[in-house]
Amino acid sequence: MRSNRIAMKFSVSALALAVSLGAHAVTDEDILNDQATTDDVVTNGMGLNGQRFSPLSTLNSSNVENLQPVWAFAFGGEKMRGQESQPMIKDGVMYVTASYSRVYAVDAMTGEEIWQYDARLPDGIMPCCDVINRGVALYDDKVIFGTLDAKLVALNKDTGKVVWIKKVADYQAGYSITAAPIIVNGKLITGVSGGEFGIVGKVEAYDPNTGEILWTRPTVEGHMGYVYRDGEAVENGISGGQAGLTWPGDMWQTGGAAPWLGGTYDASTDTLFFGTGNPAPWNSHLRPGDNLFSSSRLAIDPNDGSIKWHFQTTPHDGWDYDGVNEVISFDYEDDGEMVRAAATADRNGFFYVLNRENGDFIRGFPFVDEISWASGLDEDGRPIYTEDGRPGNPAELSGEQAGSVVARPAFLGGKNWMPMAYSQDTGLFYVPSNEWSMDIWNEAVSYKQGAAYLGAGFTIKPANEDFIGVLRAMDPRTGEEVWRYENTAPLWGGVMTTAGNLVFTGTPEGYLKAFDARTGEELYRFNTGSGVVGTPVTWEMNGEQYVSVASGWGGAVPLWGGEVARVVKDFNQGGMVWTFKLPSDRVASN
Amino acid sequence: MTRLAIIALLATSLPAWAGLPTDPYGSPMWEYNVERYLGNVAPVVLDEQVQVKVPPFAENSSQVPLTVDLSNYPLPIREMVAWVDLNPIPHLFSLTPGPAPATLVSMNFRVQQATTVRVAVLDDDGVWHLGSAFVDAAGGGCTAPSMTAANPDWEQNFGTIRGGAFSRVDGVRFKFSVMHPMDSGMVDGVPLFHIEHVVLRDSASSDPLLTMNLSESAAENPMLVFEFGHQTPDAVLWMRDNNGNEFERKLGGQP
Repeated sequence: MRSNRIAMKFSVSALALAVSLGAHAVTDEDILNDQATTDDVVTNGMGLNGQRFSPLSTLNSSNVENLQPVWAFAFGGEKMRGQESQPMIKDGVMYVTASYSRVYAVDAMTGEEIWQYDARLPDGIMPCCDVINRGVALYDDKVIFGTLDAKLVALNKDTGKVVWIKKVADYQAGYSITAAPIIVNGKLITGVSGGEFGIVGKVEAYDPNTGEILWTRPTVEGHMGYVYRDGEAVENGISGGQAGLTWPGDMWQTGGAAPWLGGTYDASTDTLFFGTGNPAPWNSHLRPGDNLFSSSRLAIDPNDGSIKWHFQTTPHDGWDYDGVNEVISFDYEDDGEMVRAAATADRNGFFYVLNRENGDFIRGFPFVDEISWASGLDEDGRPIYTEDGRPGNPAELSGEQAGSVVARPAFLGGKNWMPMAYSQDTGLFYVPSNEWSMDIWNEAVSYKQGAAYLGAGFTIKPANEDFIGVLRAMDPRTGEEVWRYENTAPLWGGVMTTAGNLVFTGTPEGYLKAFDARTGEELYRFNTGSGVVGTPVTWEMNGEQYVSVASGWGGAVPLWGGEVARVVKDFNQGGMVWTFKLPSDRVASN
Repeated sequence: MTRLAIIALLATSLPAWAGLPTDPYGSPMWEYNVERYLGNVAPVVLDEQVQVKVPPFAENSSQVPLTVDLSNYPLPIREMVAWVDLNPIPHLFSLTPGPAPATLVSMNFRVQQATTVRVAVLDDDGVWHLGSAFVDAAGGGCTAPSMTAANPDWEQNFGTIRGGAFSRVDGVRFKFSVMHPMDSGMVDGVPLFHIEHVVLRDSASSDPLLTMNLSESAAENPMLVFEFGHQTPDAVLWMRDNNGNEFERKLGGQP
């Protein structure tokens, strides 16, 4: 009857508010234990340490062929572009983001939309590498994400209504936010993007309940960090001690080093790990020195933003080898001793194992087939540069593209943003990587606010005829590549592994694929209709194991990929999230 | 099927409730919207003292002035609700007065087609007093792209408030406009983006003079006018849109 239906409509929002005050809020404990709980996914990384390892084994290498799609959800709109989000799951609701700073709450059982939030973006946003978003943070009754105009937005998880909004930085100066913020012990932590525009990178903490800033830590040497007490900024030390130690002149004032991919957290040392992007501009001859803290990993105290230690993967970077890639904490045994380690696979082609308590270099090795710019790493993990590996100085040369060199990997990296996974069962890292090189040359450039600040030209070339992408199983103790899967197109999606001896990832060809974690044998594929550049997750609901992944081709490759276009030009855009499950009657079918 | 037959069908499917008079304008949305916004419990009376003024023809369908004149309305006002019968989202605003209700409320709104406009006022006895007006229009005001959407630099002026307090013979008039696209969400590729909450407070006591919820039928860069019979010309205006942006400004008094 109509009157009843109308009455119901009016009471829905009141009911939703009542529910949000109840037991279904996301707590610090939920977040800290996310890697161990199987009925939810409440962190980006399936655990704050970023291992992306699920203890679920209902779905495993002997029954994954029975995995079935159960629903698909379209993000809609005329706008598509890349979908790099990792879905989150809590109490039967999926929270997933899409391109152009959109957020959706979807019934995880049926795929029906509960609410949708579309940020109203100004036309002048300046994302360097597609209008993507990588996901939300969940805390209490809030869903929090960063926008392309560099704001943080907190939404009520039941209604999608804005609780607070906070400007993190000025989008007109080139800042944006694409990474998922993380929650650590009641603090919301975010980085910023914009390293191609000469911004100054920073990591900041906010109160997730109010949006009030708690501390800020610039990631370029010479800039003052602050903590905020009662709304007052209190000086908390200059990053790196003072300006000018590793930068010439005033170049540090527009030094880049954007921590654009967000971070991970290790509870055992109470440390945040954030990677930083390229120094600005790309032309390294304009800034002799190590250019701290560009292309580095920073260990940050979550309480006040102090830098505990740093490890610079590419000092004086001249190839756009951002050091943002995720740092994954893991423990392993060495001669009967437990090593508290952290691993990261860099854009520059090297895989690093560090002591996560002090940042000491334990070992490093290439995870790509060939590296041109360095012949190896010294005992401290510093690269040994090859002669003529760096593009030449345009001030000393004449002619177009003078001083051009062929560098490998290309600037899109041996591995880019797409997160790898670590299996506690096999002790292996599953690294989504690419084999490509670039011609790169330098050009003169000067800084202008809000304009691209590169000073380099480049074009990317595939390294092989028949494949670019390589999913690798790497042993962090030996550097051995245990197995590899070669993919025609470059891999640009994240990886997940499970106790069911499985490794999941997506391909630009549209497939969600599952591999045997020990052998690399491909066990499952399903075409989602557009390229998969998101990161899969898995969880358990009503006794059945589910897998979800966002689908929608885009990201940096179609914008910056040069001759890779030959391989990817026919891939169509999309915008969906696909959800699969292993029906309970198929669990033991093999 | 004739309109009468439809109304008859609607009527039979509804529980009969006392006190709904016949619509003098014969709008097909009469019963549906009255029930939707006023419920089907409280009695409704037509009351010419709730004066609703609109132009006979909307020259610009996305900017139509509406004035609700309550200067001759004698009873206390508990709530006020306004809607536009034939708009896709008919609700225009809901207003809760402070201790001294406004004697005049004026704003601009959108019309999608020629339509009746309704304003209902709830008295202390729980009776809705309803006034109506009809505006003829070429239409399209709700689904046309906003002027703002065509301007790539819209954020430059976004949130700019112009306004002030103007003294009348007795009482005060608060008048202000705010630069806001007020996107209805019905234009392809332009998400819903509009001011939802308007609060006017007394500067000294911080007591609300009124609180108002706006819906998608409100016009781009809205201009609002409130008149009070007895009030110092000193108030703080606060607004919040659905993206969480807040706008605040002092109207009248010492800056």
